[in-house]
Amino acid sequence: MSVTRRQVVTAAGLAGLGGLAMKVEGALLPDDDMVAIPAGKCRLGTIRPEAERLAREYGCHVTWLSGEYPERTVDLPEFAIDRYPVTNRQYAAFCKATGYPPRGHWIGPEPPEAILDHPVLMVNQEDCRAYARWARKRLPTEDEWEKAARGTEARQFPWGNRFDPEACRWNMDDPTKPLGFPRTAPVNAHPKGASPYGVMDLCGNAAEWVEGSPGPGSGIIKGGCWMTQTPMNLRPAARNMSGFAVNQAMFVGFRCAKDVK
Amino acid sequence: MGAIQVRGITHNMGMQLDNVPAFPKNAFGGSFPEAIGDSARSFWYGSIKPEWSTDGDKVISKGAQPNEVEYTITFTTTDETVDIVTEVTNISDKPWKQSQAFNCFSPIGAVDVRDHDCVRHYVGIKGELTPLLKVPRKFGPRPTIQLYAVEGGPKWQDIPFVANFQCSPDDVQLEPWMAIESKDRKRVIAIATKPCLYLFQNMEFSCIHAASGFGPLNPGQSGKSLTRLSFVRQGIREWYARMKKEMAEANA
Repeated sequence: MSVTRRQVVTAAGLAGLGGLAMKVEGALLPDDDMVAIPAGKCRLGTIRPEAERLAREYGCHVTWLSGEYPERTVDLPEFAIDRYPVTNRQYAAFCKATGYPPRGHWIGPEPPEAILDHPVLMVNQEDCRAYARWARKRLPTEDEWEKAARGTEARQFPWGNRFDPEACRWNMDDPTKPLGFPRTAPVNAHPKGASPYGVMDLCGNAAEWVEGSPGPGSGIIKGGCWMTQTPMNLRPAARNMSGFAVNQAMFVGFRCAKDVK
Repeated sequence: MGAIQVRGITHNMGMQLDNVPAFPKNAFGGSFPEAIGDSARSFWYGSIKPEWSTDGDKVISKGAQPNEVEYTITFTTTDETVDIVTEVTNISDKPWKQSQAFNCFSPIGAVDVRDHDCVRHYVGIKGELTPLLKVPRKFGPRPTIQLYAVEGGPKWQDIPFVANFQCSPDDVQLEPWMAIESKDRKRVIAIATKPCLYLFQNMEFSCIHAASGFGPLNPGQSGKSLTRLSFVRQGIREWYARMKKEMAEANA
């Protein structure tokens, strides 16, 4: 199923982000709260001189960014993408409707109340596809995800070119925090993290599976997560954390996309 | 707290470590071995169902793949080390040009030290302590993993097991160990192997590996290696100096 323009929230209609969070907390309709990303060209990846600058900034050998260069320009048709990552609440509704198994970190058939609006974790690429099929959506491609995050101007971060530690959930793997301290955050907790289109929570919190594979058995993961300690790996262009597609990790979730006709 | 305790998982190549004094409330695990035998066609984790036993203060794992490979792994612990002696025998009718015991040391359950970004991973290059982030990396089909040749050993292209992964940087040879410094920068975990065939690390699990290499083994021949896991209350520079001294003494 595809959606019409009227069913998605356009970038122009994003002024009041706070109100949109209501949809996450309220009734769940899989088509809720998607953002239309206009058709057109964008620059993805990283040009080599920029990779060299970033390597100096982050104290690594430039080849740690080698999955990102050369930069490429792609021309994508219009598509819609979920404003927020899929939450535990949404994934639980899917499990209830289909009999799909609950996630490992729920410690039971349903997620704890405290993390209902946090991103679902412990999903592998196929778990994400199963949800997307149920929601009559699909996973975004890597190119779509990166465009939704960086806009057409190849921003370093969704909010701009300078890292803002308040704009995402990161570096929370802190042994000094008490047991039970929530490492993730609600998906709408970082309004400063909005992308040029108003897509939220793309960096940190849950890293996100996208469609596609860098090699046999592998899947692509984007955006860094609550454990990520360096902004280098929170950048939407980063690719180093892409891993085994069958693994269900405690830091990986997803969001869905859809064709727009 | 006494010595670290090794707990083998029944009929499994995996094990867990309990009671690690330098890292209380942290869980460590591993696979010994994760793959073993001819480096061109090793038997992977799960394909062998070893028997675990104890002998005094030693923990022993014995496993075999009929008509292929047989091994005995013996674990001996102190309050800051686990020494792992691996003995492997070629019980096939084919010569192995190159033999190995690939292992895994995982701190994924150790919040004090795990490091998925590799910002506290260290290696050694010609006597110099080196942050792993400063070592060239090759983007491969599984971007979270990387395998490295070791000093004095074969090139990665000449190790079939390693070449298969297509993610080893050219012209990089490391000392036969890897280490991760804790988040408080006051403690270190490390794995070192002698003789070592190659190193491996995986950002997905924050695991570090130093594979044993036994060279060519003809049918009936055996090889032996020592792997040491360290859990010390020292910063990385202090631990590295100590390790180099201990290695020099062992070599003497």
